[in-house]
Amino acid sequence: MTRSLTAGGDWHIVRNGEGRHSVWPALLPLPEGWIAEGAKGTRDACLAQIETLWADPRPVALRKLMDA
Amino acid sequence: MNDLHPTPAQNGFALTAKERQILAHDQVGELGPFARPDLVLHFPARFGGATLTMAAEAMIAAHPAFSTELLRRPGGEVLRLQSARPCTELRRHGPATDPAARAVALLADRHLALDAGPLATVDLVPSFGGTHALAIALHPILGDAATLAAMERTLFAALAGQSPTPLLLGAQMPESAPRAKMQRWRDRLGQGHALARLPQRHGGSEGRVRLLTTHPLSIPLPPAEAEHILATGFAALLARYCGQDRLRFALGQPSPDPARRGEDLLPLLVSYDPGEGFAAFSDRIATAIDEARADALPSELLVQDMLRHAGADRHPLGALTLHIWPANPLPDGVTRITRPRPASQGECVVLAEVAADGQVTLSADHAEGLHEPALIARLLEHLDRLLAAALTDPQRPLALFPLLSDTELAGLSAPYPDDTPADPRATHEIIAAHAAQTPDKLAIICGPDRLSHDAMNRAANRLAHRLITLGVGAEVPVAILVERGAEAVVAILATLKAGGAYIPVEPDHPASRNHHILTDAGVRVVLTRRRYRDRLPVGLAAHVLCLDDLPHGDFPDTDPAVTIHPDQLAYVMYTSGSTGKPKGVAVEHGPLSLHNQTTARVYEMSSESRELPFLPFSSDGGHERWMVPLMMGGSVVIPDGPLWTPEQTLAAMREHGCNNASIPTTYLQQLAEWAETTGEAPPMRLYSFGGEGLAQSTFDLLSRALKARTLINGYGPTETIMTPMVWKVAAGTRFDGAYAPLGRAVGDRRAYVLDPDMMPCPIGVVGEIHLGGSGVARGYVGRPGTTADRFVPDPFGPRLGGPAGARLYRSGDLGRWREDGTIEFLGRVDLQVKLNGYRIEPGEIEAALLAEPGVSEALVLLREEEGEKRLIGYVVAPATVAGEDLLAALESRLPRHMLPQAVVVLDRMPTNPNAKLDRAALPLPGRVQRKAEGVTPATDTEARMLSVWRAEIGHDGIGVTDDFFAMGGRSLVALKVLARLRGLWPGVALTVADLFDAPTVRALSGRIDAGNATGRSAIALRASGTLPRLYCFPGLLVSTREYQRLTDYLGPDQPVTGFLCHSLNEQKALNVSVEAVVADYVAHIRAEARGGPCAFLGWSWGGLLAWEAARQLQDEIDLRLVAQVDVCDLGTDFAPGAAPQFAPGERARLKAELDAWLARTRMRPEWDRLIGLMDAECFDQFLRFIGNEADPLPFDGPEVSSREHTFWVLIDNALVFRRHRLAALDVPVASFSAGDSLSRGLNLVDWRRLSPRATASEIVPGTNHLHIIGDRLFHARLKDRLAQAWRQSGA
Repeated sequence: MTRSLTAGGDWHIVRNGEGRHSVWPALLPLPEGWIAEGAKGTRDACLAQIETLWADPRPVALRKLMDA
Repeated sequence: MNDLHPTPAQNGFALTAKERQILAHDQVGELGPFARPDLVLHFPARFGGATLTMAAEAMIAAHPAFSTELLRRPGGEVLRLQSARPCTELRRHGPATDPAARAVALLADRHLALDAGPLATVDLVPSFGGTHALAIALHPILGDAATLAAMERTLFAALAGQSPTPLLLGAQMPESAPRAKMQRWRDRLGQGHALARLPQRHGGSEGRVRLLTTHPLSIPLPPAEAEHILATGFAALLARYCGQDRLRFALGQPSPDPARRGEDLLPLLVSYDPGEGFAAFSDRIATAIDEARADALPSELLVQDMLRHAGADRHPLGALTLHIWPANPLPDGVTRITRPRPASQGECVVLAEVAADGQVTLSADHAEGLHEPALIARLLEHLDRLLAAALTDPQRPLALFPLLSDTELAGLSAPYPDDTPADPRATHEIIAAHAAQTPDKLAIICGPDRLSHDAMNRAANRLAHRLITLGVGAEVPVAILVERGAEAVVAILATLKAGGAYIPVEPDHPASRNHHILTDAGVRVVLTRRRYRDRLPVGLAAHVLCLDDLPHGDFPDTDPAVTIHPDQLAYVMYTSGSTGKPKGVAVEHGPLSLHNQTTARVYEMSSESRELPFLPFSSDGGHERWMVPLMMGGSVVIPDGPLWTPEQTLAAMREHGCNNASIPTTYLQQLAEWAETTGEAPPMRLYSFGGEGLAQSTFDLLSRALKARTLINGYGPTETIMTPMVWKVAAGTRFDGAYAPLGRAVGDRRAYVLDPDMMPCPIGVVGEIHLGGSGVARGYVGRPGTTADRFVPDPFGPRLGGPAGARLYRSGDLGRWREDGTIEFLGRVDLQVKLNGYRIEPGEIEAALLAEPGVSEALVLLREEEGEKRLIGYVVAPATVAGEDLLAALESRLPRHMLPQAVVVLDRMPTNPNAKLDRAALPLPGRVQRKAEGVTPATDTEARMLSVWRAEIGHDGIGVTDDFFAMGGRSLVALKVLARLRGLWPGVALTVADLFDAPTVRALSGRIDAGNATGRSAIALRASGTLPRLYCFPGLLVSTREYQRLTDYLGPDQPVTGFLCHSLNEQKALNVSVEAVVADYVAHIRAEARGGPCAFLGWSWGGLLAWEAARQLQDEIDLRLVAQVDVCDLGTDFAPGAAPQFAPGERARLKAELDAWLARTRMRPEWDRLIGLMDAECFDQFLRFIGNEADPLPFDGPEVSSREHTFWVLIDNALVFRRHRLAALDVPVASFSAGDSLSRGLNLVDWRRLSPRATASEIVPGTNHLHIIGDRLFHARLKDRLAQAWRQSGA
């Protein structure tokens, strides 16, 4: 495969409606249903942040049900 | 063509190199890539017949092609004669209903030949309604598309009332290459740009059939910039198609002279930067084109240089070619019916014709054997899409433009069709429903245990209620540390019913692994057995329940009233983890249940299903295979022990009447082998397997031996829930690929092949497999960062009708889409290594190796030895496949930095007792594989011989049992060694034959001591075999060893004998005639063949020897085929009747030079004898020959390996063949010509003139006179011709 354009560039921390987190290249349009959070950074830096940011792995709907 | 002298009215011109190339092709009867350029124009009625006649005649008068004849002089030189008046007359035909069709038909039937008839024709066909068609046909020696374009312009000018100026044949440009230009090309080409290639059919080869695919570009281009734009778009497209950043292809160069043929090719070397926009890339391409043109050399000179080394690519300039031509403007109403195309030089030749208004028509002429036509059609569409998008946004990085449309993507990523609405219930709820419907139906059979659906449900319920009291509920993990069996299933169902998530733990797995699992997930309860208690980590903070020792308690056996939310965890499955600690993959109920439901439908399961699931419970697939049958109300037969023999497994299937089985691939192979030997396989509806790449041969074995209707190859990382992709086919299907395909997605999923920037890859292009849809796991327990790393946002799902906020899982596996939309597996991505600053994905190299015929497995590793890192490739292939050949094949597919240092061929990959790959057992490649020092001599003879060998081969470590040729001894070294050995043992008639038969010091010494050296003239390259024998006749100074590769390729059934070259035989008499040289061979054949069938092969001048042998043996043997390989006639140098020309005083100077040299050479007596045999004409030719040689006369004789000796042999042979005439013979002839020989215009023999059963020559491109005998394409074609010849009964 050819070299990647996006791998070495800026990435966003992103979150969907279920509260799941991931990362996405800043150069590409955000897929539907995902929003960007926080500052851009390298991919690894974003992942390191998510390690502390994403505390509850349960999807939001389940959290609400269980907390009720 | 005339054999006369030019008349005073004719001007004689020497042929250009391009014209000589065409001549050489024509002579062997195969124009090959040089099709005749034909042009058919259609004129509306406003152009009357008289006007068109006048214009056509004006065109004929104006262009030199129509006044050309060819003259063949004695010795074979051909001149081009231009007359003052045209030789071509306009042919006017009677009216036709469809004049264009008539004209096309006329041309289809017309054959223009160099030796008879006109070389150019012009036809005018009227219709009844006043329209006309005009057809021009030229023999390719006269011109190419540019020539016809010039004729067109002349014609249109004449029609417009202008009188055309006659074109004159221009002065020939000097052809010799300035060294500086050639050196710059060598430097450029040495930078390691790989040849761009398109994805090929598995096992495909180029063949002769060509197809044409057309595509009109959707956007107009400004004609002045069209070349840069199209070259840039093509380069960017190819970078993505072949996955290389640095690549090259050929750019067409139109003829500089419209009067004659001149079309040529230039290599264009490109480096692609995915972040660059179209505008910037285009500037760089423009510069590259200018640089290449500034250094333009005739392509045949470049190719000759590239072919110096054996193993060059068969399309050294470019496997892909791009021509960009402006199209002449047409007068109103005039259309082109047939247009000339560029030569078919390349696997795919793309032509872009740019009209004056900017409309571009793309057409690709491609080898049918290599590429699906659909692939080429898509290539052109993708080029269109890329250009259209990039031109509207020329700053945007090129990597971000999609090649595939959404429609293409939807089709390729689509799962197996399934319209059934989803059942909202969880897995265990669906299973429990059968307890009410069919309570007494058997659910589980395991050893002696039998559980009905009802009994199973009640047992699970009791345990579930107990678990609830222990605090098990939503998101609570419960470890199941129980061996696979009925109780384990019950324990799992209980956990699910309680709302918890189960974690299977294999009792027999290493304690450290299990301890990690039990502590990592935070299990609250462990369900196990008494005997496994000690396998738990000390101090585990969980409630431990032993199933065989449950505390007393009265728990209801009704379904617990526990509601399951679809996002709630169902299980956590720990991956095997190649690096670091195992990770827990957490899967939710909703996706799990949907997966199971859709899988049941794809596997066509029902309440009748009875499955034998053989997969371990430590893998998620193991659970799919009991859940699904039970969900359908069927049953499962669970093996009561980890390892059953194949005998036990088949017996169990028979005994219990199983109709499905799911078995890991390696075990299934053992099962199939057993079944094939014993015939014991019971008939089954379906086998499913997976987990490893499955080769065609294994798949065939499964189809043959296992008596199943349907076979399912499953694929799926744990992160995408059990088996997200399957390839479901009827047994016996062939799949045309390295491994059985992974198939397509199951259920609410899509499968994608993406490049590193999330762009979908075109069919055939390698990328990383990603899986999307609902069928993905939640993530990894306790690792949000890793989860975010592997589970990424899905940009495609919502566009293709799925919900927003969807995710993709990056599999880390390489794959590619096939034409039918299924996905093929190619290896791992994460084994990416760094070497010398480059990122390398071994999977890509493995894929390239797997594409080579014969290779069934491939593995590429980075090995470190003494601090040095090297990439080594390992393949499983038959012994006839050579590692060096595979390496050479890779050179044309991969960039330099990705080439392994060596490729090692193995019978099988070494495995350890767990049937896993044993990397430590993979051998390191070595030039000399030796474990100990060479064996020492035991006798005096051996000692003396060994010291000669060591000195001449130049290797001190040789022992008496080492093979001469394996140690690096070459043919000429062999002769030196033999000469020295004969010096040591005079009177012993040792020849090369002895060395071949006894290639070790020990064996050869044995012969000397025993006195049975043979002095023969023939060697059995392969002594035995079922087919009739092939006799190989050597060329000049050719060692019979050169035929060894061919012999190996032809296989164990084909016996081959090689005759020793007479110039290599020490006992050569002077200037023997061809008849006498051949007499020895003839006697051998007569005695051996005894009238039976056989075939001859002659290479180079060996072809003349073979022909003479055939003549002498005509009625005595059944000669089925004479294969003539690049056999040149003598050329004009020494042909009788070809008097050489000298400048004034030159002859005297050359004679003086010769005399001075003769006075000094140590081979004086031999030269004197040879010169004494020359007549006056021959002596003059000899002087001329010396004068033409750039190098000075050599002094380094008389050693056999010296240049002087070679020169002497050349002249000796020239004298021998000079007197020889080839006779006509009625034998079947298969003729082969090296592409480079034709490019150089070598005078190859046209065997059709000598035998009525000779076919036109087959051209072997990308090789030259020296290397053709070792060329694999040549080997393959020869094998075909021999097979045909053996099949026919006697003439």
